[in-house]
Amino acid sequence: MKDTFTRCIKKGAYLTIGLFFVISCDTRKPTTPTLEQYYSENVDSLVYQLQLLEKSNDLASIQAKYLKSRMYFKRLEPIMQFTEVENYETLNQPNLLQVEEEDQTNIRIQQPEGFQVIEEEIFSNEIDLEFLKSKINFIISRIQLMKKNNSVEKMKPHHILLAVRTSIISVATTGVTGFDSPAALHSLTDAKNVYQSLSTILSINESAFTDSSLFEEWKNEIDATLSDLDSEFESFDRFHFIINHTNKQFDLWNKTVKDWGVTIPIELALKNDATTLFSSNSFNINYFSGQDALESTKDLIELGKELFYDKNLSGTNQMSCGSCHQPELAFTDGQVKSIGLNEKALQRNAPTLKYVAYQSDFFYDKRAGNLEGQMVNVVNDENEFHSDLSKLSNYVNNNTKYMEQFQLTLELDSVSDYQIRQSIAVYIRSLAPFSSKFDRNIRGEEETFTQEELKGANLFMGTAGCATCHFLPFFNGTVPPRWKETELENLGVPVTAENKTLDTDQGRFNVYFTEERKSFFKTPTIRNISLTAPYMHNGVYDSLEQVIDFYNAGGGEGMGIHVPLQTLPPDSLHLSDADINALIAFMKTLNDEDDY
Amino acid sequence: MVFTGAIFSCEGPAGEDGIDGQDGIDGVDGENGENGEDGADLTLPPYTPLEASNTPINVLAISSDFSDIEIDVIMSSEDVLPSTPDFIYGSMADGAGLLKDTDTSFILINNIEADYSIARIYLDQNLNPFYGEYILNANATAFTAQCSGSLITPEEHGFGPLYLSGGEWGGASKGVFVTSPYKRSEDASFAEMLPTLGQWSTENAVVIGKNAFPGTTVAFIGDDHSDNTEPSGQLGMYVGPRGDLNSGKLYGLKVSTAGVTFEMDMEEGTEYDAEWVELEETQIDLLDAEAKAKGVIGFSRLEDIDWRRGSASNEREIYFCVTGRNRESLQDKGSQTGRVYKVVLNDSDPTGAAKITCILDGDKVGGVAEAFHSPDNIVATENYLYIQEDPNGVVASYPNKTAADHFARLYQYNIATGELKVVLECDQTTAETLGYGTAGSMWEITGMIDVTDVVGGDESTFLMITQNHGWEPAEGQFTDPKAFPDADNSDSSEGSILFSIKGLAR
Repeated sequence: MKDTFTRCIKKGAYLTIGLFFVISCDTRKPTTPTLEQYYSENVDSLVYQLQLLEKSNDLASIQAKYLKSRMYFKRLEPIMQFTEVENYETLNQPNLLQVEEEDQTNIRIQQPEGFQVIEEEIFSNEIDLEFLKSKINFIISRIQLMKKNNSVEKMKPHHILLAVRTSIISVATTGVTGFDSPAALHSLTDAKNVYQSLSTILSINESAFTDSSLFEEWKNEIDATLSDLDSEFESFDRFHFIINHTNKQFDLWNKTVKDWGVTIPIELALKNDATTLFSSNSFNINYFSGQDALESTKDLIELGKELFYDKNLSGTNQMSCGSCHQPELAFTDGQVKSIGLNEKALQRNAPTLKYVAYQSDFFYDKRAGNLEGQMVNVVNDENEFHSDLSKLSNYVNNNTKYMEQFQLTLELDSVSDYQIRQSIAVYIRSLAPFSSKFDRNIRGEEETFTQEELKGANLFMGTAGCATCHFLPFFNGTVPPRWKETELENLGVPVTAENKTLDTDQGRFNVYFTEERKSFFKTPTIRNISLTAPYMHNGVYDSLEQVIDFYNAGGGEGMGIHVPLQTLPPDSLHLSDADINALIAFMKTLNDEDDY
Repeated sequence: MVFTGAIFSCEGPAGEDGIDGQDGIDGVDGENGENGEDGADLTLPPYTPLEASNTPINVLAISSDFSDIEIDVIMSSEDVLPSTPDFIYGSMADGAGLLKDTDTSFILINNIEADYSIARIYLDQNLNPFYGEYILNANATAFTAQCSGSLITPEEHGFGPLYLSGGEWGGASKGVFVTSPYKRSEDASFAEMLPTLGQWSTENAVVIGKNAFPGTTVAFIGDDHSDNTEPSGQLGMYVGPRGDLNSGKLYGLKVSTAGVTFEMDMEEGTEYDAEWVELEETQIDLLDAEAKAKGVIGFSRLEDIDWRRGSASNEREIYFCVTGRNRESLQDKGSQTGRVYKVVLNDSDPTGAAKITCILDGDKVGGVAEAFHSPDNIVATENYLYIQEDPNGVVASYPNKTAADHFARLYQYNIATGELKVVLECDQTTAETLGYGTAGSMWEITGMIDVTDVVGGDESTFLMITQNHGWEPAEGQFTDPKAFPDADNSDSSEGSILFSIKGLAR
C-alpha cells in the first residue's frame, strides 16, 4: 500500500491521501471531501484503531496498532493542534507527572495521559496491560468528545492558513527532534503523516488559489519534503531540512495569504507576516510582555539602557542591573553565584538577559510573571538593591536629565516606578538580535557552517535530545508553536562538580512548597552559551564539556544521585568525544555578533 | 429546545486506505436513537430516604446575627443512601441546580468537580436524599473538571430544563457543557458541549431570566483564566434567539470610560461606562487575543456569575466574583484578594451600552470588604447577594490583610444598603477534632442556590456545599466508580458536604 502511495505522489498525480488517492490512481476524478469530512473520517479511523489496540494482547499486534493509531493522530494534527489546542496538548503531553500550581491552596497533581504515556508503556520491557488499557481509554474518550463537539466546519480561510503554518513550525521545532515520540522514535514517519495531511488540506482548498502555479509549487515542495523525510532518525539532516523546507514553506505561505486575499485579523506569538522563525522582527513582543508594555522605540531603549546601568537606582548606590548582567558576558557576570551587597553571594547564578523577553515566567523558579514584576524583587532584596519602589521613583523624578528624556520619549512630566520598570524592560526586551553565525546560516544568508558545526547542529536537534527542551528558535524552554509556557525541568544538578550529591537549592519547591516540584528549575536559553560560564542555576560547571558530560550520563540520576521525579531520562546519550566536540562547536555558533 | 442528547452525526464516513474495517465503529451511533426516550424513567419504586447525615452541623460556625437560620446537613461523602448504597457523593461537589420531580420529590443536579462528573440525586419533600446516580462520568467529560453549574428552567428562562456546566481545568476540554437533567444514567459516557459559547477557561455559564430581554436568550460566561502577566479573565456574553444556544453571537465586556485599562483602574463604588464588543473567534488562544486586541477588560480570574431576581429590570443586573491573584507582576492591574462587580445591562438591547461598578473591593484597606479572602461563588436574590469564599493563600502573603485571616466564609450583602455581614464560617478547628480534615487545609464554600420557589413553603430555602479539602476516608475513596471508572486511583478523594439553609432573607 505504501509503495503504491509513494508512486502516486511521485507521478505528481494527486496529492490527496487516504481514500482519495486510491481513486486518483485510477485516474478518475476524485470528489474532494470537505475539511470536516476529512477530519471526521480520520477521527473515526483513529478511534477504531485505538479500540483494536485496546483489545490487543500480543506485543507485535499492540505495537502495530499503536503505530497505526499514531498515523491517524498525526494526520489529524494540523487541524486538531489548531482548533483544539488544549485537547491536543493533553493527548500529546510528556509522560511526566502534571503539576498545576494555581495558588497556594490550589495545587493539582495529575497522572499524565495521552500518546506518549502509552508509547513509553508499549515500548518498555514489560507491558502492564491493565494500565495500558486504562490509558487508551482516556484517549478514546477524549477523541470522542472532540469528534462530537468540534468546530472544523466553522474554520475560515485564515484559520486554515494559521493551522497550516502552525503545523510547519511544529514539525521543524519539535516534530523532527523526537520531542513527542521518545520511545518509538517514530518522528520522521510522524512528520510525513503531517505533511501528507497538509497536502490534503491544501487540495481541499485548491479552489481558494487564484494562482494555480502557487498550488503546484506547494505540491512540489511537499513532495520534496516527503522525499527528504524518507530518512533514518539518527542521520536525518534537520539543519538543512529547516533551510530547504521550513524556510521555503514560510515563503509559500506568505504568498498564499496574499493569493487567497486573506487578512488575518488576529496575531498570536508569531507575527502574521513573519518570513522566518529566526528574527526578533518575526515575534509579537506584546504576546510575551502583556499588552500594556511600552512601545519599543530607539529613544526609549536608550533611556532604559541608561537606567539599567545607573547605580543610583539602588539603595546604597553600589549596584545597577548591569552589575550582575554585563554585556561583554552576554549579560551574565562570570560568577558561580552573583555577588550582592557586602560581598554576599546571592542565591543563584546570574542568567543571561539575551532573549529573556521570550519567556512566560521569570527567575529560575518562575516566581515572577513578567520583567516588571521581577524587578520589584531585585529592588526590595536586601542583598541586591536594598531599596523600595518609592525611593526608586523619587530618584528618577528628581533627576533633570532623566525627566527631560521621559518628557521627550513618553511626554511624561513625572514617572511612576512602574513606568521606570517598564522602560528598563523595553531595553532588556531589545536584547535579541538573532545575529549569530547560526542565525545567518539557518536563514540561508550564508553557508559557512563547518562539517563539525553541522554535525553538532544535527546532534543538538536530533539524537542528543537537546532541542526537545531548548526549543528553536530561542533555545530556551518556551514551547513552540504556541510559545505560551516556559517549562521547568528537574535535571538533578549536583552541588559540586564531583557529581556526588544533589544541590540543596530546591528551586520551584520554595514558591508553593509542592513536594513534586523539588529541584525544578526553568530551562534557560543556551544562545551565547560560550560567554555565560559557569553553568547551571548554581554555577556548578566551569566548562561546556562538564555540562555535556552531565547530560551524557543521564543527569543526576544517571550519575548515581537519587533524584525524585527527575525529568531528564537517566540513560546515557552515548555521545562520543567527537560528538561532544561537535556539539560544543555548534553551540559556539550561537553567539550574537554585535555590540551592546 | 428539545434535548435529545443525540450524540453522533450519522454521516457514514467512507472507508479509507484499506482499513475499511473502521466503519464498524459506527455501530455506536446506532444506540443514540434511544435517547429520544427522555423523561421516561420518572416513576420510581418506593425508596428509603436518608433521614439524617452522619456528618455533624458544627463543622460550620454561624454568626450571631444569623442565629435564627436553620442549617441541616442533607448528605455528605461519608453517607450511604439506603436505596443506592453504592452511590458515593464524590470529591469536590460544586455547581448545582434543583428541579421539582413529582409532587413529593426533587431532582438535584450536582457537579462533582474533582471526579470530572455530574451526579443526579433524588430528594424527598423533606429534602432527604433517597437515590443517587451519575449522568455524566469522567469518560464523557474526558476528565474535565465541572466547576460551577446553572440550571435553565421554563419557569425562569422560558426554555429547558437544561443544565450548563463549565469545563475549566484538568488538562482540559475547556468550554461549556450542556446536559439534560433527565439524561439516562446509561448514557453517562456521552457529553455535549456548546462550541459557539467559546473555549474559555470556563468557570460558569449562566442564562439570565426570561423577562430581561423577551424572545432572547442571554448567557454570561465567566473566564477563570489565570495569568501572571496581566489579568486575563474576561466576561463573555452569548446572545441568541430564545432557547437557542448554538446560532447566536459572542461578545466581551469592554470598559469604555477613559483611563480604565485594568480592573484596578476601577474604584469601589464608582460606576463606569461599558460596552459589548463582538468576538468572532472561539478557539482559546485566538479568542483571548481577539478580546485583548478589542479592549475587552481582563479580571484576575473571573469566577461565578448570577443575576438579580424580582423584575425585568432586576434581571438585567449581573453580579460576579473575581477571586484575585497575588503576584507582584499584577500589582495595580488585577485584584489580589478578590472583588465583586455589578454590571447593569442596557434596558432594551443586551449588546447595548452597559454600566459596571466594583461594589466590593477586598484590597481596600479599612474598606467594607477588607476581610475578603478570595470570593468565588455568588447567589443573587431580589435584595441580597450571598458571597462564598475559596481562600487562595496564606494571609501572610497578602499585604495588610490580617482581616482576611479566617476560614472560608459566607457573606450576605444587602443590595440596597451596601451592608456586608458574615453569615457563617467553616469551623475547621472543631471539624479537625471531629475528624473532618485539618485546619491547615482550607475548605471552599460553593454551589449555593436559592431553591425557595422550587421547594415552596413559608420560609426561604437555600442549598450550599462545602468542598472539604483534606477530609479523606479512612478506607477507600470518596469517589464513585460510576463517576470515575478507576476510582481507586482517582485524582482526588477529598469529601464534600451538602447543606440546606432555611430562613435566610431574599
